Amino acid sequence: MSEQAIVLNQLTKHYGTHRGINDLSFSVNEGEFFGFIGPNGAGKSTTIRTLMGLIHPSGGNASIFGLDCQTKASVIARDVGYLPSENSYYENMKVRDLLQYTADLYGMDCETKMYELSERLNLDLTRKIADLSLGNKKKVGIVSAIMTSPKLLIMDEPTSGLDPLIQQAFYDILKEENSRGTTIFFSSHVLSEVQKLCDRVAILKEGKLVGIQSIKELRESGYKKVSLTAKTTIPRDFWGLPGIANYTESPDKTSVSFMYNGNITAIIDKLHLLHLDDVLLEEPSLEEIFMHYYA
Amino acid sequence: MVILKYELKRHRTYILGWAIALALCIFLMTPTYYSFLDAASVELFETMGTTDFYRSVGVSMEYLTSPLGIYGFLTSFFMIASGIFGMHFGISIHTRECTEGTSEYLFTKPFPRKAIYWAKALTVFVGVAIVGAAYLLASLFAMAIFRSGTPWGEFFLIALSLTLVTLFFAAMGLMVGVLFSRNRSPLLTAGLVVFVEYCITSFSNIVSNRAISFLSPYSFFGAAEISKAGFYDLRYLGWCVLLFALFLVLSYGVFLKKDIQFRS
Repeated sequence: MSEQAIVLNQLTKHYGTHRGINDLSFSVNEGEFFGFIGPNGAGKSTTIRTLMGLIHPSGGNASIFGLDCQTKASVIARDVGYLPSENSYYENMKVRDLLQYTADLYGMDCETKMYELSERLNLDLTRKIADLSLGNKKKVGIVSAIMTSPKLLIMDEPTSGLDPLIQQAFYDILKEENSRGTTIFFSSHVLSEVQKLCDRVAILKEGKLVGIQSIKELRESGYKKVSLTAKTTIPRDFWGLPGIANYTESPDKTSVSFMYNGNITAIIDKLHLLHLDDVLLEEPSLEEIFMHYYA
Repeated sequence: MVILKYELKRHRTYILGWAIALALCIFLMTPTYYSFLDAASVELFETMGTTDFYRSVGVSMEYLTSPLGIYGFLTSFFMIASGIFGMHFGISIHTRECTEGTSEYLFTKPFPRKAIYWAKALTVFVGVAIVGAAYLLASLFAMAIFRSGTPWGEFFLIALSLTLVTLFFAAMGLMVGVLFSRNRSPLLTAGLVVFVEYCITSFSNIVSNRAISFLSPYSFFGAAEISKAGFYDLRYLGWCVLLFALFLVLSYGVFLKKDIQFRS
């Protein structure tokens, strides 16, 4: 399982003068559940579309299972299930017909898995795609990508539009596929779902790779965002703890907020000493992670 | 073959709609125009003969008042409709993947781009063949029922010229569709191009400039010239084949290399 499923080597894509991705180099091991996160417009879809051979890189190269993504795209596709971020299915077809088309394009009989996945995701196969909601269209894409039992699943923002129950069923399906040896490349802008599922994560910002970390490391060194309002003023030196950053306070110094990267018990002990009106201890947004953790 | 099969299924209604419409039009309009061949209508034809009308459509009054002339005249107008069909089909079979956002589905399946290109081109050509065959059959019935003694050899050449013009525009459409795959108005594009091409032929007839006529496929298959020569003009035919091949080679080359366009 130590072979590399995906290798990006200084992959660059520019759209004229517009930035796409710049000098991306990283690899994904076979059997790995790999997260790919970044805010909207960071270049996640551009990277994936280059991997799928849909667009040609301006520089560098990428390979999947040792095959060049540009020259061997159709050979690679045989082992890849791809879920695009946008729903991209023939609207005038029925769900069953579209899934059958997928099976025919792969030259496979996927009926059993198609029915099993559709049942688990609560997808009605008899409906016309044009009549489906956004979430149901996403389910069609998920079934279409997974039903051919590919060696690699590339999923671009797969959970957008899915309700929480279906999201959980989808996560379970992905975990099962991964446990069977399927490599999963999971793109998202939701840090929490990537943290829940992935072994490692690559973080993209403005087309550049900010870092690659194991989820364990990310969690251990992760920031928390603390926002609170007290009945009395809170002097800045009250905290006296390492790991506080981006400290902001209201003019009357009764409301403060900051990023905290340290022992969570220590900060709770400090909070006990205050007469609090309100407190919010939350996971920072991805933007905040970028600003404070990777700046 | 899988893509061809699904593309034909996807465009079945569209192809059959055009085939039935054109077949019905020629079948119903042929006897209507034959009724113009009475004495009163001949006066109208003679009046029109004093204008540039005949020259612009590339026929003489004598030819127009013959049974095959009427058919050729009608066919030259239906060639506008079939040209729009061919070009629109050629453009939209590519642009629909972008405008309907299905390119990320099709182009990530285990088929090389060349297979996708040829499947789409074949779909268009099969569609054109179906429309052409329907037109030919309807014409055949109309001629057999309403006018006996038709010179069948010339008739087939004129009827076939509609299919050839449609094929030409289909190839041009494939090229336009590949080059401008974000085009959201393929019907308008097709209509404009076909209208301009038809005007070029009319203009070249009026000014009697053969060089200009090489710019439009409508000049390549003039019914009067086919009747007169008993076959297509070989220089026009050769030029037509050359342009047809050029459109295909160009669109194929670009299709293999260009980035897929997306809706967003």
